[in-house]
Amino acid sequence: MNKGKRLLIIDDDPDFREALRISLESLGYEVSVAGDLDSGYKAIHDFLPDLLILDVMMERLDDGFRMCYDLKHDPSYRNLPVVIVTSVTQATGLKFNPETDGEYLEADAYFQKPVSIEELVATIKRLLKE
Amino acid sequence: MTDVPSPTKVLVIDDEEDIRDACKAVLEKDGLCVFTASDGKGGIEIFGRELPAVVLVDLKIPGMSGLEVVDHIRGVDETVVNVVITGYGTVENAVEAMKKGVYEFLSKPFTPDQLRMVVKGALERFRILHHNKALAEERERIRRNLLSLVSHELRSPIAVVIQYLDVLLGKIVGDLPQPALDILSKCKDRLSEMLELIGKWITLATFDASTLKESFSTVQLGEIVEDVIQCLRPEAESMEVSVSFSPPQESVTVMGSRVALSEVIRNIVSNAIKYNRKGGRVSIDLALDHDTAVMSVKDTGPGIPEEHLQRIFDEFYRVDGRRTSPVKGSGLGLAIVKKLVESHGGKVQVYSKVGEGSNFIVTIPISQKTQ
Repeated sequence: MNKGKRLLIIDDDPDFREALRISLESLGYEVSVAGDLDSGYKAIHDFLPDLLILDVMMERLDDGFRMCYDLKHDPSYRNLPVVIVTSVTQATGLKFNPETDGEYLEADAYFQKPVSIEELVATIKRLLKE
Repeated sequence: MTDVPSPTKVLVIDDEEDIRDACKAVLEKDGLCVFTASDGKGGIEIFGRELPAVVLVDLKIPGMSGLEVVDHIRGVDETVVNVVITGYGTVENAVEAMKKGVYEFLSKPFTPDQLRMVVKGALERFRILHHNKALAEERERIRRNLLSLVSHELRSPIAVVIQYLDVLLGKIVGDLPQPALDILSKCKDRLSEMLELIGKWITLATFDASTLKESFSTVQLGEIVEDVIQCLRPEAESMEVSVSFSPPQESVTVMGSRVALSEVIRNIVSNAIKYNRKGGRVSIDLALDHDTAVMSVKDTGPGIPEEHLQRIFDEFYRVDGRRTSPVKGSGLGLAIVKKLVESHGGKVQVYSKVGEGSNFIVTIPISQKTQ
């Protein structure tokens, strides 16, 4: 059962946050959202999520990258699974390519928007070892 | 080439020792670092090592001619300024040299002052060319970032709408009458097409062959084919099309970009599935022919009329471009395939007859030889 599993969504697009939240809550997850890095860090401290869903491109072009990097290099949060979601892939012109830049970013999974909830949940289950 | 030529270095290539010594003495007095060589081969070697901004080369040297040396240098870096030293100036020589991008002439015998003037002018020209090149690169970078930004701004709202449509279609916020669900489903399809079109168009608009080449590594084609088939399985099943792949005897490996080659194979196989008949077949073959990887994708679709065969790799070209066509497509897939395959030094061809299906053949050399 998904009850008790806490997910935090950090994305600067309020509609995307909402759509994802509704979908995931309907499947029994407890979901909190944040719209920028600062409130994101605060939410991690206060909400203590089991898994983080993080958008790559926020106010400045590398917010999501930096947060993921910082978390993975912080002993207290190294084991917090991070799922990166993005509108941007190699096909859309930026040099970021999940498959090849993966090692550098050190995130646990990547999804391109729009996200298939079925696939996202399968990944969440896998990362939370449910 | 990421190394920048040095405006403090000059290379003099001349088989006469006196000329070499004289040039060295004069130019070193002006604070320049002077390298010398007595023939083309030696000159090119030193050029590769030191990357001087200015090269003085005698037209007549043993082995390679002076103009062949200029050709090589311009092939490496077009901002390096070439000055030709000639013992006899003829008009034909001059015209040919100018066409090859030589900047200036020095006729023997020349005075130290003449030498200084020419080198000074050449260095100035180098500075201008280099500045222009840097500006052009900056402009290109900005254009690319702009395109990425635009694509992101276009994609994001569409992605969100599709995300919300999934919420509605999944009846997560309440039930909806079937006709409403059908309409929403159609909306989702059209928006998904739009997303794909944006993605493909941006790929084409921002494609840069040299950047792609920098990401080359050894890639196993068989693996990619299998991944693509796996990915497209749902699509094939819904069309009741069976996809078969006979793996090669030995593994077929090329130097290339895994992402680009996946895109190529995915586009071709996806087309073979889409433009097929219900219950049809797609057969994929992969083999090594001497030093070339050959992949063929055959389908049992309607085939392509001869008059279209020449043009199907054109951007936005579709054999059936009607909006009511049963198969949806942007017309960009094959244009992308062609660009990507060609950037690997390969070729893509199609053999097709109406009523007999089509066969797309991609050939890629297994190693990239530098020209």
